[in-house]
Amino acid sequence: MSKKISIKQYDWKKELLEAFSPLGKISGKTSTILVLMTIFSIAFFWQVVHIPFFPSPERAWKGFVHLWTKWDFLGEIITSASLNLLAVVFTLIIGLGIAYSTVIPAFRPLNASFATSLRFLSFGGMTLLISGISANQYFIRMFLLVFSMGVFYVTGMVGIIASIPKKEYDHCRVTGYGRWRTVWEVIILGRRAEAWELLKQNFAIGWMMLLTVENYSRSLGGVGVLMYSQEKFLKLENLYAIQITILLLGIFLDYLFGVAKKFIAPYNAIDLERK
Amino acid sequence: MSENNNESTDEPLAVYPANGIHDFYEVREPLLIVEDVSLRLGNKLIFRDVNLTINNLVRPASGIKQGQVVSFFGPSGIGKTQFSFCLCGLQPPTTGRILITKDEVPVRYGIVGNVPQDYILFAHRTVFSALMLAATRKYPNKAERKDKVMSLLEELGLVDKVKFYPKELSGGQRQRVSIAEQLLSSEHFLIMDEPFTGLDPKAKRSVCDLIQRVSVMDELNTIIIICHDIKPALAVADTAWLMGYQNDEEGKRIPGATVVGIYDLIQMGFAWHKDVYHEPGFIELVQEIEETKFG
Repeated sequence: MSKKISIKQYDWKKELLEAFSPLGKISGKTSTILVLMTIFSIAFFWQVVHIPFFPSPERAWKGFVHLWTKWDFLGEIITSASLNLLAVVFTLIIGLGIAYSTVIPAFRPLNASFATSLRFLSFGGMTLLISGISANQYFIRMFLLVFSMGVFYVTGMVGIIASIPKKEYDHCRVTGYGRWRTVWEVIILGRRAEAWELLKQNFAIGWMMLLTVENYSRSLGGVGVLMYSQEKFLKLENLYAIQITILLLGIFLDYLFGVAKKFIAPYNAIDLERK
Repeated sequence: MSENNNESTDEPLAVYPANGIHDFYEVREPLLIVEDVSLRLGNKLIFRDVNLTINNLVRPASGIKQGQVVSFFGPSGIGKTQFSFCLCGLQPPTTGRILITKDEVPVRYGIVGNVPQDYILFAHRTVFSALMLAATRKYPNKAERKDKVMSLLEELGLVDKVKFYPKELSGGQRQRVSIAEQLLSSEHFLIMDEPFTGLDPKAKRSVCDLIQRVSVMDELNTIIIICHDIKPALAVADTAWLMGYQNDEEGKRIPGATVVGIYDLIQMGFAWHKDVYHEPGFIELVQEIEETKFG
């Protein structure tokens, strides 16, 4: 918990020592200073150190302006973001369904193969397979994204469910709850904060996969297609402008995930005694 | 919970007169019977040949709805928690049976409540919501259920905590919520596993007070304390069973713990009064057990 410290009270020696000690505890002020120093260091490094194929901040900014004025950058972002968001919804529904069904013994072999084997299937191989099944470009994009996120989401959720302590199930049995009620309370309601947090990580994986997924069907556009075209013509400043935009968008979406989590799992946000 | 709709109509099995320490009381029908119970886990015999009966005790003259408080105490690692799992139906015994004599049925989960040492509660439910859920089976009518929950919360001093999540409660409050949850879901039986662990002497006494308060909420309330702490185990109970190992004729330890001592604390004059901690006889009893039978 950060607390307000006046200039006179600020013990910079102690804060400095804590800042560089394992498990150190720093004040809110030190935390802000560290964030600003990190940003400044990165900006300074970016400005003064010239690395081949790494455009300066001015060039990246020019690239950013170019994308907004000459290209439909906003439209491409909306295309990619809406694809990714919809894929996350499908991943959530399908992934949770598969993960929750691991509590039913009859489905365990299927789940085990899904959660382990499919992770090792090559992405390219899956693309060929799905291309043979459907000619719908949007469907292919969606399938590949949901598949990529889904297998990792299921694997993560199965791990979360498997690590639930036996005493939580015992608590339900002793309290007289039936099996379905136990699953509902312990796994579905009781682990919704973890399920949401895992989804947040998979959403980031979705952004990472966009370049590959969108380039299987370029006619539909998207940030991935835009990146590919900029890279093809070695417009590096535009490429970095896109990446910085994705980074900022990701930070904003992470924040939104955090806000949503407070509504989905309010019990998880409580750290202190109520005032 | 204060309403008593379960008063026993059975004839007393024994009547004990007032003796200056307590008023007269009756021993009525058995509530829980443990018959030749043994438990083996893998190759290890955890406990063996446990036989005991918990009877309904009644104090007609006092006007108190006297419930039962019994203790199972013994050294750490002797299998007391496993025994508690058997009592609440989580662990079927290897041999023997545990009967709830109201319906003469073997114990199964949902009948005997269990308050574990770490007071497991649903992190995602507020106090009120957890208790309403726990009471659903016993009180299907929502209005009645709400009344029961609120009256129990009042008796346990938790009314101002109804909207709190477990994370916001202190250890003592969590213990009380856990007791309330199990009382609302079980059939008057409540196991408390190591309720005194990690508490200072003052806190131990307030837990004893809490147990006594719960025991007189309903005549059939039966609280089973499982602990290694001799003093509070004896101070709060009307009957105590000491668990330990026996030796054979050659002095070798016989595998599997069993009941090695029974203490009728009412007859000894140590039950049902708060000041027992200071009584010389009680202090001597605790010392004697510590020195001769514990360890």
